[in-house]
Amino acid sequence: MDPVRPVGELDGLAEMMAALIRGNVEAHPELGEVLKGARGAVAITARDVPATVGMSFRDGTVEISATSPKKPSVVIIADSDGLMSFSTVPLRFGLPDVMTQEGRMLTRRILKRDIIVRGMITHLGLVRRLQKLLTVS
Amino acid sequence: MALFPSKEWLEEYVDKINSSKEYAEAAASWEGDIAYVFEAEPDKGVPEDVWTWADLWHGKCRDSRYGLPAEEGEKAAFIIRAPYSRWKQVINKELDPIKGMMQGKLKLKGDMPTLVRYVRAANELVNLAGAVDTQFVDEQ
Repeated sequence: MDPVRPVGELDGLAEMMAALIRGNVEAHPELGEVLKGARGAVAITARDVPATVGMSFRDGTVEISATSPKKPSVVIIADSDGLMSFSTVPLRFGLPDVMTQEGRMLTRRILKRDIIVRGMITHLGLVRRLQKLLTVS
Repeated sequence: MALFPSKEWLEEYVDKINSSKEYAEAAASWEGDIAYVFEAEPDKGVPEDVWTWADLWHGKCRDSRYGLPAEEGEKAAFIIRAPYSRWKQVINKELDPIKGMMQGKLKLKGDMPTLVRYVRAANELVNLAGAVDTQFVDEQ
């Protein structure tokens, strides 16, 4: 069963995110467990595109749409290259690994609010699961 | 100066790829062929879709083909397609390819995690396309 369910017509960003999660789960079946544990809604905006993708996680599936959910628990706002660095950063415990150069650069961009991550503290579990699902490194 | 799109342009592009240290490093472990589709824009001198193919392997281009039939191009591991004028923007570095995909201006078929993993190599491929001395078919 495809764990990714498109809702409505997807735009480029939403299609990319859907393909990324689908491809990662196919290549790494253990991510199915990560997906099962994810609950809540996420909005990711590429401000230079501009486009927003909405993701709603529940029951081991993710609904993806080209619009933001009404009340997302986690909001990520970045330029397109910032979103790419989210997907390529090495992870440690489901978060960017600050022992690596890429991890330090990404963390610095988050601290400088060049990349905005809202809900990181209050919904840390969801952020970690999202990070694992989107990361290809 | 090579006319885009043409076999001569593709050959010059392949030469650029094979002499690029940056690409060789970024794509050192890449294995997979790519089909580029320059979609028809008859008013701009591209009367029908043009399929090109590049066999990219460990930082080099082992082989390439221009004007192959769609049914052969469809077998490539990755297919990137867009109208001719979008490709022109990419070659002129007016459109970043990743941003173009997020905007839906460039369409990708293939394994997205692999493409994202090699995003630096993908950017280098675009830089090399921009380095080819190009004359565009609609500017002749």
